[in-house]
Amino acid sequence: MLDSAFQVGAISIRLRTNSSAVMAGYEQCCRAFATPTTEQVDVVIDAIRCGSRDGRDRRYEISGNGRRRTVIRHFEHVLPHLEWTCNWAVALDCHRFLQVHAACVSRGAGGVLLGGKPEAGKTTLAAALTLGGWQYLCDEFALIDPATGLLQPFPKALNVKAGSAAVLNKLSPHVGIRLSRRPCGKGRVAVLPVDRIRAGAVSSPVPLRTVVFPTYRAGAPGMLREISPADALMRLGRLSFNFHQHGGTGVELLARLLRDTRCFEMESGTIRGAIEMIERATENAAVRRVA
Amino acid sequence: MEASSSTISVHALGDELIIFDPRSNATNRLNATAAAIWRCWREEPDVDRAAMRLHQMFEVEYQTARECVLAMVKQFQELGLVG
Repeated sequence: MLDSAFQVGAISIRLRTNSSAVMAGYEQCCRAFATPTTEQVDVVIDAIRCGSRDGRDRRYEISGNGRRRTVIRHFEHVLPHLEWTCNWAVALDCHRFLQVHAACVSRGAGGVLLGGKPEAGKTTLAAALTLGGWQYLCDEFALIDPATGLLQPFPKALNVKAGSAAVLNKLSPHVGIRLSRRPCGKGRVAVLPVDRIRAGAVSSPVPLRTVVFPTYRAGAPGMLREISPADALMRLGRLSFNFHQHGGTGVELLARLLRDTRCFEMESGTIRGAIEMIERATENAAVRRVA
Repeated sequence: MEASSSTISVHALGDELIIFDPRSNATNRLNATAAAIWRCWREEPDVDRAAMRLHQMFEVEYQTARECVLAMVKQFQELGLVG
């Protein structure tokens, strides 16, 4: 059995597998985060190759923190499912952070939380902003440390779907995202390590400065509207994976953070339009702090 | 955090309030009008006094303000936020 540990920002991950190909693929995604040991393991992923030696019944059984999650038939789908399994384990078990379903990036000393449900364009935006020089924290989670109030990085590889891959390849051909040949549950997908977007792009922990709730609608003209911090708090609560576990302390934490934060809802029809609006939102937030 | 009763916690965000009730694990958002009524009611649970405050703050007819206070206090009671 192969057994390796990775410290991916604030989250420690251990992968155990009997497949050298699976380990090699995962190490390629997480090579910057390999660590000899981790004192505290947040996520243990088991990826067991099963079936007959001739490969006719080849399959991969993947579980996270002891919960059997899925059985994969095709090797090209293993890496995306390792990432999804890891996401599930973090969402279900990692309650030392208040978690919000959001992508996070930073610039200077300020963090931007891009909160949204699936298909809101979080991964596309996080990748596009990282290409444009922003620092990357995560494409799926805002992990807020209750002790410090800081957004913690979890710079895992991005799980890119077909629509997102087309946009990102057009925006910067050097990224060269190649989708799986066969569709899996979420269509054709690719796993994109952040160092393939840009070297040195991982953010350190940052204070939250701007909250944006993006939505994508093809052909939309572009809309950026400031919303009240109380409205933002309610939306973040609905997008949180563990708001109820944190109870009153979670509400108090968000209320404290949102007093120094400007909050917006945004609808975009193009990636360039979305980037421009996020730039504008963060500039507005900085102007208010100086004032 | 604003002064709270022994159970609920109240957080001011701009002119709005967030009220968390641990008994139901429910988070409620009060807009500026509801927040003004809440604050007034917590000081003294008197419909006429709250209506007068609303009438002065938001420049609405006194009778309209009074109806608004009655409706809002009923909602507070239904949510278990006031006795």
